[in-house]
Amino acid sequence: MGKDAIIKTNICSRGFTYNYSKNRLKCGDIMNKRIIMHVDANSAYLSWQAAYDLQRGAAIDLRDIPSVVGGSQKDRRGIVLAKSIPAKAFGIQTGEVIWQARQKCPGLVVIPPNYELYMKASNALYSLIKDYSPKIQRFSVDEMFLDYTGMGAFFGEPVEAAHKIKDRVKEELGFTVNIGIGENKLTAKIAGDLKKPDMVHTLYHYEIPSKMWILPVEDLFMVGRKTKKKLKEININTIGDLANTDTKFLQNRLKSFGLLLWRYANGIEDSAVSGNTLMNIKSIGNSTTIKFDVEDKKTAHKVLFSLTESVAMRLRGAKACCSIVSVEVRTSQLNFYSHQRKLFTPTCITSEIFAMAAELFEECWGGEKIRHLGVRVSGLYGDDFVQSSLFDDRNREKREALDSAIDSIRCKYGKSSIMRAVLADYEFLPVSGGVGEDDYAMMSSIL
Amino acid sequence: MKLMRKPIEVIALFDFEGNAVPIRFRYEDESQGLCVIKVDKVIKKDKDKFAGNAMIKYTCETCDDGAVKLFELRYEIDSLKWYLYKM
Repeated sequence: MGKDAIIKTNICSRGFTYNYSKNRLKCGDIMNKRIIMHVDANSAYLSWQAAYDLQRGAAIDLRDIPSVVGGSQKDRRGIVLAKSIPAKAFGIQTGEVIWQARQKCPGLVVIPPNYELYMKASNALYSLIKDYSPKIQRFSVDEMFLDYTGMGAFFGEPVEAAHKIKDRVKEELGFTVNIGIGENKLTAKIAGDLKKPDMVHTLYHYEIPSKMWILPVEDLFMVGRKTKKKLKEININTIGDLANTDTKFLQNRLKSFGLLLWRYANGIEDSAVSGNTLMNIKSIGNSTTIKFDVEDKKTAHKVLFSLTESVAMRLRGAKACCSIVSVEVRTSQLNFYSHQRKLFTPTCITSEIFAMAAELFEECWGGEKIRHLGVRVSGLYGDDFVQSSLFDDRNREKREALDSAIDSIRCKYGKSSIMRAVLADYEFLPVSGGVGEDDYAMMSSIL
Repeated sequence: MKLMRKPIEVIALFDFEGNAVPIRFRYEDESQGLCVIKVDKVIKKDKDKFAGNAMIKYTCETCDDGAVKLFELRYEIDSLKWYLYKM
């Protein structure tokens, strides 16, 4: 076919055809506008489990009865991870403790999480929506951004295509998704959250005042519990209030974050749909709730070590070095405190991070029973070069080589293939934290 | 057909194209003990990807004492396990 060949394609549902040549692709309005879709599985963990159970011949659909996916109460990880819509009617909230949920709804069905299945379902969703665009970003295990710009010629108008995707997912994969359509990732995400389940919503720039500004401010991306409180103090209750506030005032109150929120409230966001969000990571952390209360230093060190192992591995995986280490402790009385310090030389070596974490822990721990421990590193730099100092450990290069050898062994043969002798009693996992699944996409606060 | 959901042992033919065709299978029945059933004909073959778990569904028939019986077999691709789903 020649360059100027006329391609006849059905673009809209209204029933008329566009004729355009390949080298005049930009002539139509539909081609110029950036279109981003946000695909979000409805109560993902629960509906994936429900679809899986149905496939294996279960008589009841978990989505139709009050049910939740939750960690095991025996291991003291009993919180609600996902809930069905009937469970929501009982006032059960995600993140709530299981026994509280049971009090609200006596006949509640609790299912343990199955991360392997979630990864499978997520991969299936990814490969299905890949049919509709070459540019897809996996924002988390159940959320994906799809760049639909210029794809109108192939699959029709965005709303029509979104319905097609939604119906195909329901038909082929057995769960429902919400699709939000916007001109950038932020508006697409907010559109996707408008009303659930199994819906398609749009949020174009001209719809922002009518659809987005009326929402309470906590519905805006990046506005959590604490920011909400701060905003309520200055009488900002809806996204519209925030959008119409003077930027200088916001900046004065919330620093650069205020400006970011103002931009978000006005639907201004221009990041690209990309698979790589690693570049913008600000900190890497890992924490775990221990099965029993830790009372001695030695056991606490073991936990810290196994947490540090995974933090340091992820740090090296992101090709970064950290300059700040912090330790978080939650006691059995549910008191929480943390302690942090800047390192003299940025590092990505497990033993150096652990040494600092252990030191910090000893300084802040008052001998209480410990329920939950966490290690976090921040102040990240690229690992291409590091300013060394006279006081550094002489064996730094050797240690780096050791760590990279350990990483490659673990990468090839699994996380428990090689471990520190101190963890060899299997009381704790050699690399703890996370969900136990490799490559599991976690939520991020960076669009 | 009644829901069975029983794990089964299967003799199947894997052809050059990579298609698996069940030939004969057996399962443990509570009352009759070990039952062996010959697959006379595969009527329909479908792929099911619910929750991303790929399964091949076979609707088959067998001849039991002169009567034609319908049943459904399922082959779970990730675990390589066969199930008698309905009979």
